[in-house]
Formats: sequence, structure tokens, C-alpha cells
Amino acid sequence: MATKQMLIGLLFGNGYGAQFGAWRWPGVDPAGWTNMDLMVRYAQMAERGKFQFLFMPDFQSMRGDIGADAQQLTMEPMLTLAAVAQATERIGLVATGSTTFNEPFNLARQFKTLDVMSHGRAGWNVVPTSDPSIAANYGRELPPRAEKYERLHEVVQIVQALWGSWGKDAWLHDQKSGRFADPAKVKPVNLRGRHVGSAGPLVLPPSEQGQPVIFQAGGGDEGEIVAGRYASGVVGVVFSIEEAREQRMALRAAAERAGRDPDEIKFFAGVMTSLGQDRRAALDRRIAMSRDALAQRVGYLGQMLGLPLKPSQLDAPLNAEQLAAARPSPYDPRSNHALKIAREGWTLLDVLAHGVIDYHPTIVGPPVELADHMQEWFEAGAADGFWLNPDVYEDGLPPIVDEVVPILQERGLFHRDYEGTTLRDHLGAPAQYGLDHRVMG
Amino acid sequence: MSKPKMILGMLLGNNFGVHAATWRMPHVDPGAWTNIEATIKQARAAERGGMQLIFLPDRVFLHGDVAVSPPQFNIDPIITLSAVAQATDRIGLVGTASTSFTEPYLLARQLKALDVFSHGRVGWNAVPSYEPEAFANFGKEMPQRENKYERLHEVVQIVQALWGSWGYGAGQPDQAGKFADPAYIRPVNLRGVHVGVRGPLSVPPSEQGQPVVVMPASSGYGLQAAGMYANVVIGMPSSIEEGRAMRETIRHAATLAGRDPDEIKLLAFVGYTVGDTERQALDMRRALDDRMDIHGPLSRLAAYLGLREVPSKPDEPFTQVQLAAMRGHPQDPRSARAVELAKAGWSPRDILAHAVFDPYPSVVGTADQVADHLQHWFEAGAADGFMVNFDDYATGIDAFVDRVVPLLRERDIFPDGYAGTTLRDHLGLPAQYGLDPRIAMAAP
Repeated sequence: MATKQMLIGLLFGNGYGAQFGAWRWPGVDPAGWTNMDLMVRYAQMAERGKFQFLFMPDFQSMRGDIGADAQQLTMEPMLTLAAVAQATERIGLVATGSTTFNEPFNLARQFKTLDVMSHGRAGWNVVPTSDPSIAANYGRELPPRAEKYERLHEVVQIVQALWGSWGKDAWLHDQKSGRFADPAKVKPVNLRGRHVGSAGPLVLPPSEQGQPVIFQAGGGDEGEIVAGRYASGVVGVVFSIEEAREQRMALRAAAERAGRDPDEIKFFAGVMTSLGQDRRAALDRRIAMSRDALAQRVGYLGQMLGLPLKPSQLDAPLNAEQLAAARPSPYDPRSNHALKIAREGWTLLDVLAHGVIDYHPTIVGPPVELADHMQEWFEAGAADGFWLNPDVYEDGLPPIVDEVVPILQERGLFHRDYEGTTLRDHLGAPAQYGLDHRVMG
Repeated sequence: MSKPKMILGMLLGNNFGVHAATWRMPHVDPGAWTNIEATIKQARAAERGGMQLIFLPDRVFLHGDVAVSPPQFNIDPIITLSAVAQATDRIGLVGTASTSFTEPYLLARQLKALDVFSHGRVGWNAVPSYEPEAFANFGKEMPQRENKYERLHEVVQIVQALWGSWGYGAGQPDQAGKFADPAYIRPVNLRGVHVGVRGPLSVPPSEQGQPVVVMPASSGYGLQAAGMYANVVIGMPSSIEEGRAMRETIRHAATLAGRDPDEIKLLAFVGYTVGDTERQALDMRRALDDRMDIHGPLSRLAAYLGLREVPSKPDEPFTQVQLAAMRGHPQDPRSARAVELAKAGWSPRDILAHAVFDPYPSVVGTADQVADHLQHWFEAGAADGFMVNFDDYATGIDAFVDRVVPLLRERDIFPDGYAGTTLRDHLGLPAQYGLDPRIAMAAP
């Protein structure tokens, strides 16, 4: 491979977009979350943009105010990707699957089936469950953190062992001799831990990439260990180049400690987007989309700046006294950026519309700003790539595909086409089938 | 009122067909087992014929002898059906998901989301697992039979309650108003011995409300469960008499549970190979049989015919001496059929080619012969419809759709096309949403 290039993934799933109010946006199908044709169209758009993967978070409980807004995440990730797999050819398909209340055999079977069906494009984002409302949907309480991670490791290891239990060369399909498979190469795994166990084998041959790629997200120290041992991709939530670089280096070190090559683990920084012709147009878009949600954050903005701010000040900038008194809160990594924007003299509503209190750094402006942000972070070693969270898919994804991607390609920072056919290829992840013996011994 | 019409379902699985040797045929792609395009093609062919549903049975463990034949079952029913849903418009999509291992919240979510994405075409074949190998794959001990059904009742009730937890009253997303009315989206707060759920489930009603429940024919606890929840029961009666009895039994079970017996439909397993002539159809079956060792089937045939010796000349009709010595087993319809064919002058190989040993009634012959079989069974009240098995999907489905379906329509016993859009429409079922209020909440 010539010069190193960045990788791009896309937040995928609820049919509307990443911002509150996306479902109300003109041109958006209000019933989009039930419309698989729409999901397919957006996936095809992302593939046109040569994104390496679609990424589907998951949350198995209803949350938020269903009167005011759509659910943030997908109705169901595996079904969505199975349908999308039919309509796409190259783009990776990464779904989240919790290890806390799910059986390893079921996870192994559904993810590997998706992998085989998509000709080697599936990925499994391995996370434990953290929300008590989800546990309640299983009639249980959340286990303590240590126990959750203990179960997670058992689940991942059993799943990977099951994936490898139908040997790489077991499927003979030799019509002449009548030998369908070599039974000596289809073996039980007979694994049992404290929490879960499985005899196997799992009746599924290897896909074009052998088995699904593992992703990981979040989880502090324990999460880092998980990523270091198993993950080829990590999606992160980071608000500065320094923070991102630190996380990226820590993950690489964790991979090395686990016996792997640090280059195998790719770190993706999240970016939210609200694109427009220029800054003002993009801000107006954001305000039109989420004014109420933004207005509700004035108080918290004040906390981030160490000031008592009120909704009555929404249409005014910080005054001289406030500017002098403002101090970024050490408790929220977004505070420095919020203060920087506030100092530029924007009204408080405009400050909030810059996305200073968003789940990720937000680009609110013309497409070239997104390209510049990605270039800056990539060249600083802050990330191997990005997972993009467009405010609205319907009219917010096309400018990324049609304008941002060509800029990155022209600058030599992003590929012009897929080099390989599998998700493993796209990520530069090494071949693996069954357990990783460098890690497991 | 117009004449009643039969329901036709098609069993799908390993993408080859139900015959263990189909994968070896020259016209078959041996890699089809994992090829979703093959499944899609088969589903579309069935849809072309207006068949009301496709059905994916399942086993959650390695089943059969993979040294010589593919696993019989699909790689994963629900994931497969999601892909098939995208590629079809009307045909019902019935998938099997065991009640023994998966949390009811996850079952409810996948099944109802698939129902929404497919615009109301899903059926859930709700079965308890009963094999030690299945439980071993989940690191669990096999429970007592009663406990399996205890869990099944809890799971089915919780799943249905979750399905109804997003009420119709929640409305449609209104960009000028609410996304949904939270007053009609409520937790279910159910707990049994085995499983429990708070809810709600954030999946709105589909075009048919919620998936249709399907169950296998069973006795005892299984029959009781079918009577309480199932709209379709899939069985394997070996004669018209057995079918009629099975049908009466399940209708009675539904009545006992407080439901209308017309809401529960029996689909009987059948197998068909259609040729231009009987000879041609038999040759198609023989091409498959010939790829397997005939010795075992010949011994079995001898036993069914009550002969002491295995026929030494498989391609010649039985001698007068052999015919005189034949004793079929009076209780076994397959034995009677074998004797009948022998006496009609068929050779042992051709008798086998009539599929006498298939586990369900089979016809290997002309389109008329197949249509006659279906009509005979249907009009005798042996079933409300049929679950059709094909030895070779590549050739069998089109032949059935192109030649048998038109005959059934001519005889006014099969609908002309899809009158409705949902599985509930195709099966003529009443609306149901959430738990059935006629069924008691407590497990029996």
C-alpha cells in the first residue's frame, strides 16, 4: 500500500439521522424507521462514497420522549444488515451485539450467517449492557461491572471458537465422490466458563473473510483490554486531537500487550455533521432542526463555562463580564471548544447550534470544513479514520458522498475505490479463523 | 359464499432440496447451501405460484451425516427471511425460533421488526427444543418435558404482550405533532418462573399487527399450547383418516382454549415431483436415488412388503411367487402403497422412485396426479392446506407452480392470486394484537 489513507464508517440505522428532530426535517419520510427501502438507499449511497463500513449501535430498551422524537437507534440491527447486504457489494456491515443477556451460540450463528450471506463483510461490535432499563427487559438486574466483563470475555471466546469449529477446509462439496464435508474437520468446542458454555459445532462454513471482524466501543480500562485482545476496529467518542491520540496510542499498546501487532487495531473518531453552503446556512439548518432541544441546553452550557446562563439570553452573545468570568469546566472535555466558540461572539443559540454539546465533535459549515477536520485529525495521528454521524441522511449524506469524499480523494487522503472485497480487507485486519492463538495461547 | 380454498406452503432449508443426493446433481451448484440468492430464487418461484407462505424449520445443532449430505436446515432462519423479505412482495415468511434459549425480548423484537419490514408477512414457528445436543450448545441441562412447556407458555405470552405494548392508539409519526403517543406505549411487567420482561417494545404494529403463531402438531402439552396460541399447525398425517383426526383434534383444542376452531389451520406435509409423464417423474427421482447406495432402501422395501429376502433384481418386476408371498402391514399406509405398486408390476427400483419411504405422503407423477392428490385430501377434510416438500428446488418448484397450480385454480380449490397483502390475509385469519384476551394469563 502507498501512502496511508484514512478509513470512513457511517453511523447507520434509524432511517432519519443522528440529530434530534431529524424525523421532522422536510423531505424526510416520517415513517422512515419502518422503511427498509430507505435503509437500503442510504447504504447504497454510503457505498457510492466508498465508505469502509456501516456501523449500527444498539439499545434494547425504549428511551427518551417518544412523543417528541424518534428512537435514536435502529429497530433491529441484524435484520437491517441482512436486508442491506442484498443491495450492496463491498461496504462492511457492523452491528452491535451485547454480551450480557445474549447466548454465545445465538450471537455466533447470526453474525456468521450475516458474514456468509454478505460474502465476508460482517463485523460484531462487542459491548456489555450498561443500562438498567435494558436489564429490566430481560427480567434481571445489571450484573456488577467485573462480572459483566468476565461474561464478555467468555462470550467472545466461545463465539470465536464456534466460528472456527467448522474447519476452514471442511466443506468439500465434491459432487463426483459424494463427499459433502470432512467430518473430521467439524468438531465440537466443548467450552464452559462460569457464566456460559457451548458444545458446538456451529454448522457454518467460513465466509470469504473467514469469520466476522470484531469491533469494540467504550468501557474504560476493561474496554481497552477487550479491544486489545480481540478488536480490529474501535469506535470512539473523543473531543480533541490530544484526547483521540491518547486513546489511539493506548489501544495500540493494549493490542501489543495482548500479543498482537498494533497496526491491526484501527481507531475511529466520531464526527457529527450539519452541512450547508457556509457557516451561517449550516447554523440555520441546525437551529431549524433542533431549536427546542438546543434551547434546553443553555443551563448546561453555563455549567460548562462556569456561568449562570438562562434561556432569556439565547439570542445574545456572552457580555464582557461573562466573557471575563468564563472558565472551561474540567469535568466535560467539550468545554474548551464551547468557550472558544462563545468567545467568537456568537449568540448563545448559535453557540449551541455549533454542536458544542453533541455526542461527538460537530462540523457545522460547508463540506470543506468536514474534509479539513478529518485531514487535521488524521495527519496528527489522532485516528485511523472516522465514523460519521450526519444530522439527516436524506439531504445530509449526499453532500458528504458527493462533495467531502472527492475533496479527500483529491488530497490523496481517502481511496478512490475498494481495494479488496471483505471488511477484513478494508480494515487491513489479518486473517483469523476461530480463536486468535496469539492471544489465547 | 365461494368454495373454500387450500393453503399451500413450501418448505425451504438447505437450498438444494429435501433429497439427500440433490446436491450432487450436475445441474445443481454444490455451493448453493450458503447462497442467499438461491433461497431468494426459490421464494420468488413460490410467490409466482401464489403460494401463501414459505417455511423454514430449524435445528440448533449439527443434524445428519455431513460426510455425504448437507445439513437439512437453513443456516439461520430469521436472518435468511430478512433477505428474502426484501426480494419478495406478498408471500408469507414463516421462520422457526426455539422458545428454549433466547430471551423473549429478543425474540419479540426480531420477529415483529421483521413483520414490520416485510409489511406484515411473518409467522413464528414457536417450538420448544427437546434434543440434548441443542441444550449442550447453550451449555444447559435439558429440562423435564413439562418445564419445557412451562417456559414455552411464558415465552409466547411475554412475546405477544410485548408485541401489543406499542398500541395502535400511539398513532403514526406526525411531523407537525407527536412521533407517537406515549399514553399508548406501555410496559408489560410480566414475570414467570423462567423469564420476565418489563417492556415496552419499541416496534409499532405491522400491516397485520403482529406475526402469526405457528406450531408443530403434537400431543399433550404441545397440543394444548397449539390450541391456545397457534393459527397454523404443521403436521405429518400419513393418511386421510389420520389427517381428519389430527384436524379435529387441533380444532377441539382451540375450542377448549376459548377460540374459534376456524382460526386454527392444519397444514399437512406432502412431497411432489412433477413430470410430463409418470415415467419422466419417476426417472427424475431415480436420478437422485441412483446417487445413493440402494442396498439399505431395498432391505427396507423387503421388510415393508413382508418378504424374507431382499430383491436381487431391482430393475425387474416381482415374480408371481414373490407377489403371492407379499404381506403388507395393514396399519402402515406406506406398506400398503408399496404392495399396491408391486402388484401393479413396478420394479423395486421404480417402487422406491414413487417415494414410498418419504416420511410424508408423496406423489411422483404427472401434474394431474398431484392435483388429484391435493384435491382428494383437501375435499375429504384431511387438512386446511399443505406444506410442500421438493426433492430438488432447482426443478421442482417451477414444475409445481407452472403445472399443478393452474389445475388447482381450474378446480376452484386454490385462490387465483393474492387477494390481500399480509400473511393474516392469506390465511383468512381474524385480527389479533397483543395477548389474546380469550386466553388465561397464567400458565396451565
